[in-house]
Amino acid sequence: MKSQTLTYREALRIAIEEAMNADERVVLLGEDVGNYGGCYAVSKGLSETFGSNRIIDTPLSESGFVGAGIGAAIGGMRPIVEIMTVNFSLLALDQIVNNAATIRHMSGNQVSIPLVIRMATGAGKQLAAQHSHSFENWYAHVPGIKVLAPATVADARYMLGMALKDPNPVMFFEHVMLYNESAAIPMPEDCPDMCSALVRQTGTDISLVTYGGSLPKALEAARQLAQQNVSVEVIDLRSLRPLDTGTLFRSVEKTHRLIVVDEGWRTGSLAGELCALVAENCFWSLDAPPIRVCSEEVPIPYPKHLEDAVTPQVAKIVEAVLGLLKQEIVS
Amino acid sequence: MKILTMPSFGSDMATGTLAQWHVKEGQTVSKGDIIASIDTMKGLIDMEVFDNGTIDSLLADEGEELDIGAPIAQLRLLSENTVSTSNIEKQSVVNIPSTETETEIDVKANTVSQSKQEADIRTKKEEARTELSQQSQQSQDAQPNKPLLVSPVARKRALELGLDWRQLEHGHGPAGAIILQDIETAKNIRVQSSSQSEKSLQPEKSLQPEKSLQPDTVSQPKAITETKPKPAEMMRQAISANVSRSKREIPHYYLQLDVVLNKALDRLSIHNADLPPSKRILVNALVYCAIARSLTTFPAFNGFYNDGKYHASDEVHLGNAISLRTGGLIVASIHNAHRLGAIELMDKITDQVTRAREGGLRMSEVQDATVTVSNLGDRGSDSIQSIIFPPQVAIFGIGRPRKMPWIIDDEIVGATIVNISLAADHRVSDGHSGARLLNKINKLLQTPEKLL
Repeated sequence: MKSQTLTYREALRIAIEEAMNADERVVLLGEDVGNYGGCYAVSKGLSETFGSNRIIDTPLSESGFVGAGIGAAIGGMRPIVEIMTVNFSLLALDQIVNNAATIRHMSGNQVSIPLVIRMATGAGKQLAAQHSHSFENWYAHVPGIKVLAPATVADARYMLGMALKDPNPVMFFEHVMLYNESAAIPMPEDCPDMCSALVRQTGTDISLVTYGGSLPKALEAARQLAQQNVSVEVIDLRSLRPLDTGTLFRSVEKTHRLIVVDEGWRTGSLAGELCALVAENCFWSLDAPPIRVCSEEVPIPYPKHLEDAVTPQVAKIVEAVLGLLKQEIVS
Repeated sequence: MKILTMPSFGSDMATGTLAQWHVKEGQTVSKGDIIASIDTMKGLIDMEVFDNGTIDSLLADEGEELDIGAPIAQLRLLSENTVSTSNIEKQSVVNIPSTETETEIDVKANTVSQSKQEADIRTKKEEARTELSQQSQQSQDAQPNKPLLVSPVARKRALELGLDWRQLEHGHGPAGAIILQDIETAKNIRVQSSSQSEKSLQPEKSLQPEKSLQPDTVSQPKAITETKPKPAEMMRQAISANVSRSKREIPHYYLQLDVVLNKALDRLSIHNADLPPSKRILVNALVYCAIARSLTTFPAFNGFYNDGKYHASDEVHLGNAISLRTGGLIVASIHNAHRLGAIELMDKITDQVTRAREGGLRMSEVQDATVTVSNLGDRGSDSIQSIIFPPQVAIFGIGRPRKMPWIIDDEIVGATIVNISLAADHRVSDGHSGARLLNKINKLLQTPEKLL
């Protein structure tokens, strides 16, 4: 019997295929997306199906091909731009932040940019300090773009289509450790929309808020904590901009405690922003200070043991939760 | 082993003096037995025991004045020979809201771990008590030196409940911070103490939060706390804290109705005609009886409002506010008043008033009233608008019965009128049902034969 499961990678490929079949304005462009099939093999085989006019290999110039994507979107296309990794997207920062994010505003709402920019993010593959960071934090800072972080196979399968339908630029972050994750073939209702946070596990003692590649770690931590009678609520943000603060606040008002798990560095981070929002809006509901579990403030190291040591891991999350709930530390 | 502690007979009590032991070490006791007489500012109150067992040891001497919650005796429960240590540990996790209970658990733990060394127990207990007194001393004296951490939500919840979190020695959060759980634990104990009936009552648990009800008395300047306030002052402070809380938290509404007592008085004069004065029934007994019976069909006026929720009581335990000659008030509860006739009620009232003023009210009588009646008639006031006694939700006031020209059946006649007032909690009931309740009472008083 054929197993009825799907990997995150396959889910993305099916989503791209589906979008391209449904709308001929959809094109995919990026480095090695065609003949090579994408550096994470997401677009493998698509070139044969759709041809090089729609699956476009670009020169190694992020600023150039992201700019081309913006232009195509303004011109009426529905481009998907793939950037190999978030570190390289910094080369296109000017196009993304100064152009994609501002043109609707500067044109007095005359110009839409229906563009999706996909890229890999995060550590765990031993790709060292120039290919392993989590800069989605930075993009979430910028008004004018939407920032998504699908963490499940269902979200990978259905969020991309939703992002393409949005008339604004959408940044789409795929954590490298998720590509091989598999799950039962998802249904559309498993991904209700692209902008709300979802409670992946309900609990009463503490709210563990996370997204992307940290979600499986948070869920595993919650599982281990359940064995110690700690009831953890796990919230998957899914959308980093706009933020679904309602779900966040409701959860914290219920559990009275917040831990944010984010692979980004803590200084000036989205994790810090979430803590600030909760402190501002839920102060009188808090039973403990909001806490962050983030990466250590060093470039992500190459050696496996160091890479693991600096990024949030299950044990670290469990420890943080127990520390916050800790009975009786008398100073 | 259960530690019996100095009980609280309401929020207006901070210490009690062990006036007399009625049991000896080694004596077998059953639920409901009087084990001691406690001298309080309310007078001498008999302390009951709420479990079957054996008095293992007495920890307080006669004449000793002790804070509420101080251990006074150890009771070996009938079922106890099999108590395991793990049970006790579990209990201690759930249940460490205060200095008092914590010490109580320490004592338990000690007792179990040293069951082979019975001889040492005495010393341990002494240590526990010394520790306790030192700790409670610290909580008043050393406060400025030791910052007490409290989480925002714990602080907010304490405010809602009228609990003073400063009374908690430390909490269960990181660095000993007081967290929500600590406040809820303290609250639950209070709920238990106010809503429990005799069967579930655990006297030593009603302590800390009752004390906590007096936020204002705690933060007094040092100079004052050093000289212990006199019982009368303490009672005044306690009443002050209680009524302030009531007025602060409870949205009162007030109704009153003039009730014609002619029929009631006629009926009573027949009943009393051949009886000696001591056996005669006063009209108040009929009014109390009418109130208690009416409440069975108006549950929104008989019960407790705690933690944002109202729980109606199935039974009417009618609290009778008794003013003490030394000043102050005590509310004695007439249990299951709705099932009593006026004759039995009269006996109860007389007996309780006497005992309240001379000492000797039982613990259960001062703890579990579900509604209160305040009668100022014999003090010469025509009517009274009372303050609800939290966590109750209603209080009745009875004024002075007075002769008035009244119109009955379109004729001016002489009538004896009494003003019955109702102050009720608008969170639980509305004026409409309050008015219906007063009219029901009136109706019952017009058929007095049914009340006797």
